[in-house]
Order: sequence, then C-alpha cells, then structure tokens
Amino acid sequence: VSALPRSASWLQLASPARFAGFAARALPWLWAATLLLLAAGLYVGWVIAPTDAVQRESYRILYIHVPAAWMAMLIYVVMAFWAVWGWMLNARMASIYARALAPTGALMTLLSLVTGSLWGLPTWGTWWVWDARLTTQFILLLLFLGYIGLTASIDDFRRGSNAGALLALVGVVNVPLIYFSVRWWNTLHQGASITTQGTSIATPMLAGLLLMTLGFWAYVFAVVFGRARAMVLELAREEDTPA
Amino acid sequence: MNSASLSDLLHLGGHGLYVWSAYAATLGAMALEALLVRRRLRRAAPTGPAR
Repeated sequence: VSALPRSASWLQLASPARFAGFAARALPWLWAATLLLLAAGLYVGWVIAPTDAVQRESYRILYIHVPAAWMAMLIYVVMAFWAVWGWMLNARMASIYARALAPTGALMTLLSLVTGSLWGLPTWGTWWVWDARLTTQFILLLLFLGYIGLTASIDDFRRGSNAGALLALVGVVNVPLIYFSVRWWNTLHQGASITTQGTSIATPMLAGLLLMTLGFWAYVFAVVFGRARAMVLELAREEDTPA
Repeated sequence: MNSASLSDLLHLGGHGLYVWSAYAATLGAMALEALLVRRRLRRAAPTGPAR
C-alpha cells in the first residue's frame, strides 16, 4: 500500500484502502482551513459588521444558526445520495460516507434548533412554535437519528447500510419541505434573505456569513473524513479477526 | 462593534445570555465532536498515520 503515488487523485476516494491514506494526508489541511475560515468569519461578523438596526446584537446568532441549518439540509441530501449509491451498486465506500455523515448531520440539525431557540426567545418572545419551518427541521433531526439507530442496530454492514438507505431515501422529501416551508406556509420563521434573485443582507454581514459557512463546510469535511477513515480501519480489523 | 468594556461585550445590550449561549453550544459541540472523532481515529490506527 505504501507504493501509492503521493499526489492525491480524487479517484482514490472510491476505494476504502486508498481513501484511508488520502484522508490521513488531507485531514491536517482541512482542520487548518476550518480554523482559518471560522476565525476570519468571526472577525468580519463581529468586528467589521455593524449592529443590526432592528435586532441589535442578537442578530449575531445568524453567523452560526444559518450555516448550521444549511449544513444540516446539505448533509442530509449528500448522505441519502451516498446511501442509495452504496445500496444500488453494492459500493462499500459510498455506504461508509453515508454512515460517517449522519452524526454530523444530526449535530448540525440540533445546533440549528438550539441556536434558533436562543434567537427566537428575545426576538419572537418564544423559544418554540410548531410552525412549518421549525416542525420540518425537527423531523430532519428525527430522520438523522432514525438512520443512525437503524444502521447501528443491524450487525451485518451491508444489510444495515441498505436498510438505512431506504429510510434516507424516503426522508429526502422532507428537505424541499424545509427549504420552501417559509414560502408555502405562514410561518413565524422569516423567509429567505439570500435567493437567486439577490440578497437583502448588508455586505459585511453577508461576507461574515459566507466565511462562516465555508468554515462550517471545511469542518464537516474534516470531521466526516476523519470518521470515515476510522470506520474503514475498524471494518478492516473486524474482517481480519472473525468472531 | 464598539464595546467600551468587557462587561458591555458580555451584556450585549441585554442579549448576551442568548448570543453567548448559542455560540458556546455551537463551538463547544463542534470541538467535542472533533475530539471524539480524533479519539476514535487513534483507537482505529494506534500506530499513528497508517498508509
């Protein structure tokens, strides 16, 4: 295995053994990018961006709430994609990616709910309402937890991955419901400020938000690649020493 | 942000409790997840960065 070329080709990511080597080299760079981007985002969002005229300082929860909520939805779609890919093509690495994404997706969903509650309390006067946006995001958390519980409860890797893939696939319908909930229903949650038609956010606030989002993105890659690498090594060891 | 003092920064015009709790929960949970993944990696590859 040590005869691998030093240059990391994206093709390596499809083979578990090659992925483990690639991840070991990529992880320090991903963590460095995470720290740099988050530091830059916090600097722009807190030092350069002004206080909001309406919400005063409470709006600064935006810089963590919005990236967490975006990551939660994105991770779910990517997780479902790899889960179904692994199911259809019997591709082990795809199923490992899906399983490695789930805990981080659940965490991002939980953080979007917690930070949203802490934002809602001073802004709306309540920490929770069962409106369409909050309810569909709560369902997303249940889907992640269901996927984790289901895959973990089945000992056989392939059977567990396939059962999880079915659940993940069915749950995909929830993602457009989350995204469009603020448009389709009358929600306490505000509508989107950033759309394909443009943005209604001041430039330094937007810059801070985008840097924080890139930082969260790098974090998700780092932590998911790390977990996937650990899973590859654990699976290889299990197969070396059959019970 | 023009906080004259540390107490202004902590208070944040009355929103400090909400804002700092949200940041502490988010950054704390991310740091914890990173540590848990690192521990799992160490256990899976006890000989260091395996190829």
